Formats: sequence, structure tokens, C-alpha cells
Amino acid sequence: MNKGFTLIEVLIFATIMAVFFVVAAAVITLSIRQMSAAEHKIIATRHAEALSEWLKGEKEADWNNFLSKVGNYLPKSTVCFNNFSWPAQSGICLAGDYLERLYKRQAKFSYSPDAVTVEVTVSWREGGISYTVPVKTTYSIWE
Amino acid sequence: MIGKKAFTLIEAIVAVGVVGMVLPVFFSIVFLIMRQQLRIAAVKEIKRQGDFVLNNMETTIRNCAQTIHNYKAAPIVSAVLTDNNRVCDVIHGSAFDQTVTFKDRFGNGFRYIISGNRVASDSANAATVNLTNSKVKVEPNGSLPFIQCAITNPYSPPIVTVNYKISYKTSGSALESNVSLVFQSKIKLKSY
Repeated sequence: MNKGFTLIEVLIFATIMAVFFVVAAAVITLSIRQMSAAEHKIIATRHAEALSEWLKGEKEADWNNFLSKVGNYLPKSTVCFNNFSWPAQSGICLAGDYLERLYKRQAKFSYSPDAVTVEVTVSWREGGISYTVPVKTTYSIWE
Repeated sequence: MIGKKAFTLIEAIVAVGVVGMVLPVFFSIVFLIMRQQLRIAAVKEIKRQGDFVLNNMETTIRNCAQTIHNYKAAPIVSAVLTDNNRVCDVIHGSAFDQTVTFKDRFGNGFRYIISGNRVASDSANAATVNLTNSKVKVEPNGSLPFIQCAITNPYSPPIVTVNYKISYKTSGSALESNVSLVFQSKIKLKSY
């Protein structure tokens, strides 16, 4: 009647299983997080490009108006664009300005006589990590 | 005593119970991962097709369109695109927000339409080409028209505004692929 497992055997088995489950859980958590970040990255890229297209449209419609709007934000030039209109003043995005309650979309302008360079940055935080999607465009009067 | 070498009922019940608790957890994780993957695939697909349509329209309209005409009939007949039906120029009004046909410098007409939830490019001397496939659905963005044009001052070329929403076509109410993106852009005609 001595045909059972010994304590050592059971302990070794339990340890191996525990290590396996912990590693599996860690891998699954990581991959779910990364997939969610990948999805958000695609949408964030669209938000950044959408702003850059809107700015291009503003520039094509009226270069002088575009310049004067950009001039309003200089020299402290980070501006929060939470919709497609020119904000009254420069400043970073506050909590209420987040797109879809997640994305911070900010633009930084720099200026030379016939070109305006815009760096659009869409950033968000998830799972304790910050992600950023930058899009840099130069708008010139000659194009 | 050979018959004694089997599991007891209690052992079997415990084993089935443990398996019954582990399997649902396992499959819910698998389901979660697959749903997330589907969502990513859907977002990627609408982004890719939306970008393609926007690039195609921007390049073609900016570089090729010379005049804009209020002409809806299909197929396009280039000879009908005359000064009489021009829109968005100084003489014929400043803004127009319906189906328009563009004319290039060789006198050929072309246009973009949304038909059957797909964006199609139509031209006087080529067959209609769908720019999006049946996986996605393109529709006007809210009450804004797909294409409109305006002229801001008499000395500058007209500006064409393109506006559309693209979403993933789902068979039912599948939440994982219920995503949409909005595309909009302003295009200034180069060879006006």
C-alpha cells in the first residue's frame, strides 16, 4: 500500500507548475498591454496627422491669417489643440482637454520668414508608461 | 485485489472541479487576446484605406484639377464641362457643396464619389475604380458633404475640402471592431 507520491515529488511538481503559471501570466499581461498600446498608437497617429492636415488647410486658405495665428503663440509656443480651431492662447493640455479622454495633442511652432515648422505631439499614458507620437511638418508659402 | 487500483469518486470529482475552474479562465484570456487582435486589425485596415484615399485625392486634385464644374451625370462627358456649369470661381459663385466634376488641363473630366459605402474615382476616359474595398464603410462625416469647394479671394485658386468617415464593416454588433476614423483635408488647386 506504499504506492503514493513522496512529499519531495509533490513539492517539486508544485514548484514547477507555480513557476510556469507565473511566467505565463506575466507574458499574457505584457502582450495584452502591448496590443492595447499598439491600437492606441494607430489612433494617436491619426490624431496627429489630422491636426497637421488641418493646419495645412488653414495655411492654404490664407497664409497671412495663418502667420498671424501662429504669431500669437510665440515665443512660448506649445499649444493644445483639442479640436480644429485656433486656441485663444498657448499652453499645454489640461486634464479636460484630452481627446477621447486619453490623448494629449500639442503643437510646437517655430517660425522663419517664409516657413512655419510645426511639431505635433500626441501623447498618452497607459499602464504607467508614457507613449508619444510625433509628427513634424514644415509649411511654406511657396508650396 | 486488482480492482482496487482506480480513482475514488472523490478524487475524480476534485479533478473535474479543478479542470472546470481552470479552463474558463484560460479560454477567457484567449478570447480577450483574440478580440484585441481583431480590433487592431480593424483599426489598421481603416487607417490604411483612409490614408490611401486621402493621398490619392490630394495628389490628383491638387496636381491635375484645373476647373471645377457642377455636373453630376454619369458617365462623365468631357465636352459638357464648359464655362456654363463652372463653380467656385470668381464669376460663378464662391462656394459649392455637392457632387462636383473636375477638369484637367487636357480637358478630361474626373471626380470622386461615395457610392455603396465605397469611395470611387470616376473619369471620362477610364472605367470607375473603387479606392476602398468591401471590408470598410465610407460615409460623409455627419452633415458635412464629402467634397465641397470655396474661393476665398478672387486672386487665389479655389480650395477643395474633403471630409469623410471610414469605419470597419461588422457583420453584427461586434464591439471589437466597432471603430471609425474621420479624415478631412483642404486642397488648393495648383494648376488653376
